[in-house]
Amino acid sequence: MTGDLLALPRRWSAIRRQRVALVVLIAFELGLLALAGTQLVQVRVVEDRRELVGNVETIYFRNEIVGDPPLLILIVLGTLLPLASRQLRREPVLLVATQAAIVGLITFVFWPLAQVFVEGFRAGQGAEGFSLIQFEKLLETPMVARAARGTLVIGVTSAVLSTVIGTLVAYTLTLTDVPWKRWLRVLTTLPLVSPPFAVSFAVILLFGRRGLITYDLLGITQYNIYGPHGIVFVQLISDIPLAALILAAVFASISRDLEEAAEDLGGHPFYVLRTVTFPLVTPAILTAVLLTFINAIADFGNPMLIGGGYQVLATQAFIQMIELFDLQSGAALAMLLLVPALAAFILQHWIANRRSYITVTGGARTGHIRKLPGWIKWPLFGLCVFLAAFNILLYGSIFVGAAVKAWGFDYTPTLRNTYGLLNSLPMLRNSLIVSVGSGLLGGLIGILLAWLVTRQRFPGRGTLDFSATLMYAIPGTVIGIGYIIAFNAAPYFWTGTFAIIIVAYAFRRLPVGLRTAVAAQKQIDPSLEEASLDLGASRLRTFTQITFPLLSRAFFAGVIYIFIRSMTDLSAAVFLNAGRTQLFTVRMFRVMITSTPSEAAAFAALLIVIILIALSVLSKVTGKSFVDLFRV
Amino acid sequence: MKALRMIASLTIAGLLLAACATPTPVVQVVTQEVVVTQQVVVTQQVEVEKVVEVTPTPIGGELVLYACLFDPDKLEVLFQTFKAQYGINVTCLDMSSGEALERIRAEKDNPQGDVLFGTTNLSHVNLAADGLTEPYQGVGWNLMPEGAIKDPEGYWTGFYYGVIGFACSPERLAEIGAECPDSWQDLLDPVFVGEVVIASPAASGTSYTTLTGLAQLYGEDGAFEFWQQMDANVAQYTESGSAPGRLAAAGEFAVGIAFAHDIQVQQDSGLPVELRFPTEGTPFEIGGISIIKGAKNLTAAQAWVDYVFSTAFQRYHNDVAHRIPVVPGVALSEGNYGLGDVKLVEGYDPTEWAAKRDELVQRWQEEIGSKRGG
Repeated sequence: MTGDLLALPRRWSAIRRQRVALVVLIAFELGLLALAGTQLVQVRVVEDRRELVGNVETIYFRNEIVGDPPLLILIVLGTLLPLASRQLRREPVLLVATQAAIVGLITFVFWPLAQVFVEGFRAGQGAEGFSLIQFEKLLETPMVARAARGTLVIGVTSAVLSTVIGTLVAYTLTLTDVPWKRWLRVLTTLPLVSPPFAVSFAVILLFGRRGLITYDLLGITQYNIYGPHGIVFVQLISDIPLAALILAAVFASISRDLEEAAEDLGGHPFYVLRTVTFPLVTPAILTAVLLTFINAIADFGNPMLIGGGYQVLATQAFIQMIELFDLQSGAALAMLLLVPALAAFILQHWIANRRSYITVTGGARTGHIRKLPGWIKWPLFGLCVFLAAFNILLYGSIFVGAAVKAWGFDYTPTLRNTYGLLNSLPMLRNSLIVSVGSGLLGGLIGILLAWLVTRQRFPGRGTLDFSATLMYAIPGTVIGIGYIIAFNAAPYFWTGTFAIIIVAYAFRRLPVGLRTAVAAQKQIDPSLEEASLDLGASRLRTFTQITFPLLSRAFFAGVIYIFIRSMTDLSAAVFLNAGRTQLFTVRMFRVMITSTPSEAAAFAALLIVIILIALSVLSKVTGKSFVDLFRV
Repeated sequence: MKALRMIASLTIAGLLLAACATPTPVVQVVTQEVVVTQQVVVTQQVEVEKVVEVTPTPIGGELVLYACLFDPDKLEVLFQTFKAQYGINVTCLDMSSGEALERIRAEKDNPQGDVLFGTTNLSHVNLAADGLTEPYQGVGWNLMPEGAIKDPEGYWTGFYYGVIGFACSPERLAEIGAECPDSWQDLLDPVFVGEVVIASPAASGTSYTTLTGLAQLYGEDGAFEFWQQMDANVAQYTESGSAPGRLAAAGEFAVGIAFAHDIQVQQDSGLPVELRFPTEGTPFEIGGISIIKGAKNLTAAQAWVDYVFSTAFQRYHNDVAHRIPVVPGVALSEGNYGLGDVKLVEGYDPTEWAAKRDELVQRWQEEIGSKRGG
């Protein structure tokens, strides 16, 4: 009783201190917001008209608002919203972190995407009001209807085929007793180290009219690799590893107990596979379909190189934005791409959440080898060996191509192809700056968000998590176009700066950084953090001195993963880089379109070497094997 | 108490800061009188000899060129020479012509570039029409004859020609048993079914040049009739204007239609590719140069515009970039073509066709582009 009475004044003073701190904080934030306001909304004096009387010229000026008042309002709302929560008001650090996360997601996820819609519904450059004219124009253009059909055909075919083959590969290499599994895992994963358009390029080296296989080996002169079949083929090579990785992780974690129980109850192995194993991997299969679908519809590098004039929406958007620089049609096309991507994302979420797929993990035996009859096992093994051998051939041809005079004509070794590379070192430097920058930023935001969503309870936590994961369903083409529209206008001419590319990549790969960090955060016992708090450390201090050091591995894994993805990106890069910030992949793509195969091969070879170096560093940091690195 | 007072003053400071920094979002018309005395423009008369020597005067400073369409690394020699003579550091930014135009438009209040260097004169015509470039009647403008090669008021001046040619792959031709076509009509030969590559006029300026050249030659309807027949032989319409040259050089297809200078770049890298010009007449582009309005380095920009018409520049540009010089008397490098070596489409003026772009591209898409399978 006496203790309580004594504690009362202390608590009062503590409450007062808290309140004062909150007021100071809010005042400080208001100041920051005002500063941001001057950047986001500016009043500029512009020339209205001139009048010439005698030899005196009078110039009339008028004030004009430039910038985005709606964005400012949204940011203010995003800052104020967390203040409604009593818990957040009591925790200034948590409050600031939440506000920063919300403002970041509003500015760099929601705003660019919203701009795609706003611009798509605009009649023309700078026109006011809502208009469907862009869509009428698009629908009237027969090319667009064809491109839309083409996009769906390519997207669905490659998503379904790569998921089916990827599932088979993953099953074989995780749950059967075929030989050389270690090597096969590495070799079948290889295409993840290069952008799909580099695969396209290598496929032409092998199967083109002067291809090593078609021409030099088989002497075929009438085969034509250019066309939709070429696009799907290349998309399969790039996406099978992706699907296989997603599935392998799940196969490895399935408890053998469930299957055994089913078998003990008299279930035929195929019946067990269909009724027990398959339902357990359904969410992973859906994720694989979604990701490969989005990859396939976002890509324009691959259709431009090997499509032979086959039209897809991504190439149309590229032409409208880059060649003709028609922002409105570009945005309308981006919307056409965004709709199926979002639909796939929502469908995947809906199906995956309809049922619970949790298997008991504690002490369960996982990754148990299944005995398969030979007539199933060996064809599966053959498939994996074939893929592995094909990948060796593919990447081998890039390295050989880089070292010979003229692929297809003159295979004399030469160093000549490296000259073009030496001249492109500034672009390589740009790519490194951007990739390291976005890696660090993305890794940091990932850690912060992971800490918020796993350790803290506050209203809107689910929405925060959802918006952060949303980015992985957005095609890179759409992100590029959205960022240009949102940040290229007055007053911030962000296009042509490194900042815009770094921010775009960091937020684009945020789901990955977040997932890695969440997984790591869950490994850490909360009692460590609680102990620190109980000993009187602030939440900030607990985060920087306890949580962050424990998460450093996850942080570096996120950094390097985002680094690799940023180094190989083309679909967003092509829209965001400009002039002095030209990126290596964009240069490489141009060289592939305009220059000789051997010179282009040198670019691809250098990029692959850099990625492999980054991977080996990542492998050292995380102590994981090469293949596991991509498992995120 | 002391702490409280400090906090209060801090809060007030913060609020004051906020109040000062917030702009007033009110649209109002403010009239302000600025007196500008009219300037008298003195046109410099430059005596022109066969060899143009631009006397360099050291100016110093920076110069930013937009749209280095041609490999900026190879132009480095020219930038170094220019720097040695004028003391000006040149930065040439690599971007597509569409991007350059959009950047100039977007930056009109605060231009970051000084000169739009290269790209077809259509871009320059459009920029001048929008009031985004500044007239300059320098050495080159005075040197060029009246006509398609320059703007009458000096908003832009053409400094090279590019002609359309056929790129042929000898190996592929041997495989299909055909000869390299010599004329537009040769392209209709059924032996070339699935062997002709050309860019889509909807995506590429190069191919639009071809389309308008054919329209000049055969009339608009005639050109579409011709193209429809040729369509049967076209293997693919590429997005990039130079890709057809690359595809023929790589031996993927028998014939590629592209600018001769892009085909010659493939020859330079040692690929076996033959270059022919159509005997009926070949369409051409005029590569222009203009100064961006409000250029920060105006004197340097004018010096550069003069410099590109010097014999030294024109010869080097021809040597490494294969562009056809406009200055008379410039010796062509070995293996390069001059305007005298090809038959141009009679009466063709690329500037005049610029206005019809939307209409012709729309028609091309309806009659040809959309009819293809896939």
